Amino acid sequence: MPELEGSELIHEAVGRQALRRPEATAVFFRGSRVTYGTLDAAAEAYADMLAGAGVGPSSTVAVILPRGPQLIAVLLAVLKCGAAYAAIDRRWPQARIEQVTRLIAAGTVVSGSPTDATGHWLTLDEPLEQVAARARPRPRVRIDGAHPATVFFTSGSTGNPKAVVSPHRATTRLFTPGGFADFGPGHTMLQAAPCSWDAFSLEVWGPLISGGTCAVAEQDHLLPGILADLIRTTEVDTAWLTTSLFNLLVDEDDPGKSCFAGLRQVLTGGERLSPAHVASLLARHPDVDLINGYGPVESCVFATTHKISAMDCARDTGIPLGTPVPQTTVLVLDGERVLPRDSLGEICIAGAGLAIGYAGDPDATDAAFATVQLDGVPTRVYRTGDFGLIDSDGLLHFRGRRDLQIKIAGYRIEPEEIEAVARQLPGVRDVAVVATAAQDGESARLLLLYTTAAGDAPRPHAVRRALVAVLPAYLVPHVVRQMTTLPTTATGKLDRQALLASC
Amino acid sequence: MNEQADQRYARVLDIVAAVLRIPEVEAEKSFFDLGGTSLQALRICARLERDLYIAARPQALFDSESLAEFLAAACT
Repeated sequence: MPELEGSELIHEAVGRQALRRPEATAVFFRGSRVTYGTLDAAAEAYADMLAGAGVGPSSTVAVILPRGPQLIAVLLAVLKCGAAYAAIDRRWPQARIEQVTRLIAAGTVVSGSPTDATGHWLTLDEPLEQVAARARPRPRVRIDGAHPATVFFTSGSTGNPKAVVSPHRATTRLFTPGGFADFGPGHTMLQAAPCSWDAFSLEVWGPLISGGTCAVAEQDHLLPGILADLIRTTEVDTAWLTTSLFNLLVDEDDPGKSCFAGLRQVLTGGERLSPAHVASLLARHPDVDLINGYGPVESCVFATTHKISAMDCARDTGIPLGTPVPQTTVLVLDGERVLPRDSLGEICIAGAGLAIGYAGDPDATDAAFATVQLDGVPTRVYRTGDFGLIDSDGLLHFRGRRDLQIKIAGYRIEPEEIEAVARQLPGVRDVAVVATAAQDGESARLLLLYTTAAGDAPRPHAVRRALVAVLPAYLVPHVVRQMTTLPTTATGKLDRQALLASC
Repeated sequence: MNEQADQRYARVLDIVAAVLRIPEVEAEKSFFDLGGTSLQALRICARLERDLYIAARPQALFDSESLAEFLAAACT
């Protein structure tokens, strides 16, 4: 068989695996298998339906479906039409779903319920074999790797979420053979991340582009026992575990029924790693390849990776973020000047992983993506807001944030977004959102403190209820407290240090 | 409630207190009142399953009006 070249297009790369090994298992879910042939044909049938509804290369489609093979087939279908998809977490409040759907100007909404009159709804759980039987030949849409493919949402400091639009090649660049992990035939990757995260791309497109299997967890909460059962029954050998979940699983693992027992490749990251937890895992499971992955969603999933050794846990500089993934360049800048090795500056990323920008927000796009001269060549970079340095071995290290951004349980949180929403509540005067320091490998906790105008002041419970109604769960503060005043600095700005000290 | 159930109930409260890092929990408070996070809910349920063979959903901690309500459902 001639060597099949990789494609820069996600759906073509998956389609090639389907041509090559149609009977191989693409997706494992609720005890049954979906083959590559069935998945690809079902996606063709759904693409036919979407194209008939007017979806084409300039469309963005919002997809609101539970995790599983049907969701994956629909996402492939959107891509086959040349359109971009935004997979939206069904657990978000309705107001948030409407807000993000407007933000991306989604002309089409695909969901599992007929309540949305403007959208298309599918029969949930229709067997994909049945859907695949409706497939018929369609003309191929001509787009290239720079064409929009995925949309992910992230917290925005101006009070609204940001929609990060990324091209096909930002995803496909990650999964070249010989890369940071093996997702190919013989490997099964766990899919447990919410579909609105870029980790979802890693868990789904990693295996499907590479010819491996994606095993979808039905549960939203990955308890160690559930994970251990899934690993045993589906032969999962590769998993992405956000730092805080990784720490939790290391702490609470049942040695008699270890959830790490069948794993060969564990990817972790999203927050600063805890050397104690990493060392504990490597001591108990020396045969596991443990990989630190770093990168903001603006550089799609990862910018750098590092295979962690036991020696890394003893470094007083923390566990390295590592070296760039394929077609990616990492720079440390001071303003527009590229700094030499071992100098501390802002981590900036260039290369094929970069997002096209934030949908509907050219100002934010211009602020975050800059053009700098790199060896005399104008190069587009994303300014991460992370401080770091590249050491003499070429390994990137993290040193902190430029702004107030917080990472909790892997989620990127801009406190200003929550403050802006809370400030609009009737009776609320001033608001501050701060995070307690993370300890012992646990995530930080979000605190919202507010003062009230005279008259009918809302109680903390009412404030929290109001936030639950409009914000996704990860943005809802864990503690809400009413204050008489908020401390300010000499210049009249909120004194976050003093505030944290008083909590 | 019999003595065995009482002990089980107390052990669940101990696990909640240990995970939340507070000396003692009052069962009439809700998980939110205590400032619990989703990862702490996951940790509590992991320990309930591992140490007491109680299968509980982390979301149930958030959905219950009080820990007593969660316990009543989890310990039966």
